[in-house]
Amino acid sequence: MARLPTRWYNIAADLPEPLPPMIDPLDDEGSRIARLVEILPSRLIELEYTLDKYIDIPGEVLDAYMKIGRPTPLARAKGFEKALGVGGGVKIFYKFEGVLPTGSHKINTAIPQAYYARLDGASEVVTETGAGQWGLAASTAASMFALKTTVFMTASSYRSKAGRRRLMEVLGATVYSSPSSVTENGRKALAEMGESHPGSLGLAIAEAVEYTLSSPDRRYLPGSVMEAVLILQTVIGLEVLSQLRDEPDYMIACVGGGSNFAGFTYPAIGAWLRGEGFEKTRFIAAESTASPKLTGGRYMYDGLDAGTVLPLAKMYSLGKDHVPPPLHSAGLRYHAAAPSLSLLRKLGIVEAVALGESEVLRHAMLFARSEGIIPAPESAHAIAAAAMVARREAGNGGVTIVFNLSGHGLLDVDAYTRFVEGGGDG
Amino acid sequence: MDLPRPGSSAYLTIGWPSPHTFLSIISSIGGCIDFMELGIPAKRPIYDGPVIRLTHREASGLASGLRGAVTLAREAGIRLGKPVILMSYLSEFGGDVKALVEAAAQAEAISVLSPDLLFEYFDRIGDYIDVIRMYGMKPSFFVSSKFPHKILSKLASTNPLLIYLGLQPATGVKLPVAIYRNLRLARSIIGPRTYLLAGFSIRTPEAAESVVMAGADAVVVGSEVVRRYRSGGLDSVANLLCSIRKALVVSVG
Repeated sequence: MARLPTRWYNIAADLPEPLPPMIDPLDDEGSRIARLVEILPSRLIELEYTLDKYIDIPGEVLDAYMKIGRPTPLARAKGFEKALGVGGGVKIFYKFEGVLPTGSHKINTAIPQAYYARLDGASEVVTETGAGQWGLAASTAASMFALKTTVFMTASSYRSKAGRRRLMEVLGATVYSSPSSVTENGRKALAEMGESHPGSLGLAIAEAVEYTLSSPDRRYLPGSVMEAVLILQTVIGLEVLSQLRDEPDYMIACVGGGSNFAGFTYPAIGAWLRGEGFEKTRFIAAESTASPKLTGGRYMYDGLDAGTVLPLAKMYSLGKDHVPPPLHSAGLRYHAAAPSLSLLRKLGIVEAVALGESEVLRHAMLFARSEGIIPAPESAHAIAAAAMVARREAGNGGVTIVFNLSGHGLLDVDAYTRFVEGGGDG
Repeated sequence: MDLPRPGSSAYLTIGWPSPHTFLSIISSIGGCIDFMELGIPAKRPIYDGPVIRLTHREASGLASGLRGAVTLAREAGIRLGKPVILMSYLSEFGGDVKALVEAAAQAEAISVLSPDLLFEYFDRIGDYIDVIRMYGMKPSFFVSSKFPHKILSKLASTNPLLIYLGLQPATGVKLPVAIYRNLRLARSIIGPRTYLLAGFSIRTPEAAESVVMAGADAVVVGSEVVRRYRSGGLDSVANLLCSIRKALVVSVG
């Protein structure tokens, strides 16, 4: 029986090495860190720098979690097992965050962040979005707490993910294509590359933060990467702990900035770090070959955003100016992975695999036809990775794989249309 | 050597704002502190805030390199008549723990604290502890407010001179961090005996008092010393540090 957790989990308290702190660029005569107080909800800053291992979830946030339908189900993918031809030997389970009203896990952190912004007396929240999952979640949460929303959406997604953009607008959000002419960072990018600029999450973040700083009534809501955001996603993994009958051999989730992966796996990784189980479990991060930070990036201090408006963090990064090609899985286009995830990867506790888009969408369609659920292209990276592991382990028997199906793909018609029309139906 | 409880201390970058004035500041504050932290000017003071970063920049070159900084630190210790803890980024020594500890020994410091030891050179902690004990000193550790509990506990078990908890994310930078809750938790993890020093953005006697009431044994003031010197000169620095020490002794001691 799934239980809704009453506390979030902070893995920093259990890590085998200390997490390198965020820093200012050395030539900064002021301090990016000091400016966080003008940017983020204050309780989010408190979470970013907490020594606590567990953090009580406020009552209003718990009420909202119940209202949106938490806890979410953990289901066995028997049809998918059969379609892969591994039935019997390998059991595959998925945690389904796509049942949530905005269709993805992003609402888990959007709700407390909007709540914290309201506690600060803010009247408007500002954020960036790639595919639109985060922007939609932030717009929804802002509506729940009577806040205005402004979203900077990467240009390629602004054009291709019109459905999510419209839904954000229905919820009252103002959505700008990034790079935009609204901010200095946007104008600079437009001057450099013109209207054909596809945008990047790093640039959209820089625009959102710059826009936030222009009014004291605004607060910026980060969609991933910051440790506080990862903490707020751990409701997923804490629920999984209460839903699993046995400890799995593999836990798999996709990685954009890391909040989905962290939310799903950190409670189990934490248990392993404390010597409380999960000794045999392998934790696999599935990323896109278009932005392969964990498999192709460098572990270094780098900007969280392209404009270096925010502090620097130590992460696996492709460089803050990384501009990936337009991608169906726009949520995975971020240039770096969260500091704690990067450290776990460096230590070999988390493994990583990069997957190409065709392979991912082929598995997405196989999953749709065998399970009756159309996955978001981002989440399909976890499906493809799970399939890869399942095929490899098929002969071994008794292997259990659990992955996070972080969102549905009902608003990703464009991605599936182009894939099918391009002959990818297979 | 044990440090007093409660204790008060100050931080200065060696040679700032000039070697002569540095020694003048030192001479004026000896009666207002229990121990002193002196930082070797660093090229990459990455965990410091803007005020201290600037002192590193301004002091670089003034103290005639490492040897000059060590000589000034030793002279400062003599003038103070109080224990000195050397602070230096291990990266300044290319990760060479022995060279770092030797510099502390030459400066006649009682310990050496590296802000980047645990974050950038985690695999060298054992070496650091061995070398510093070989030189007859006790280890000191800098930790952040986002820190693994088990490692904090292990550091405490090494019988260190002190564990320095950075209350805020960078020196002199004040954010809405739950510093008192973090302090209480840190104290419960390391136990009652380990000396817990707290710093980063302590600016007033009241703040110092609250931090000690929450579980710290001592406080260190850095950025505010620099600000006070710039705005009010030597007297202003001495007044600040004496008022903090008095507040701790009267209210907490």
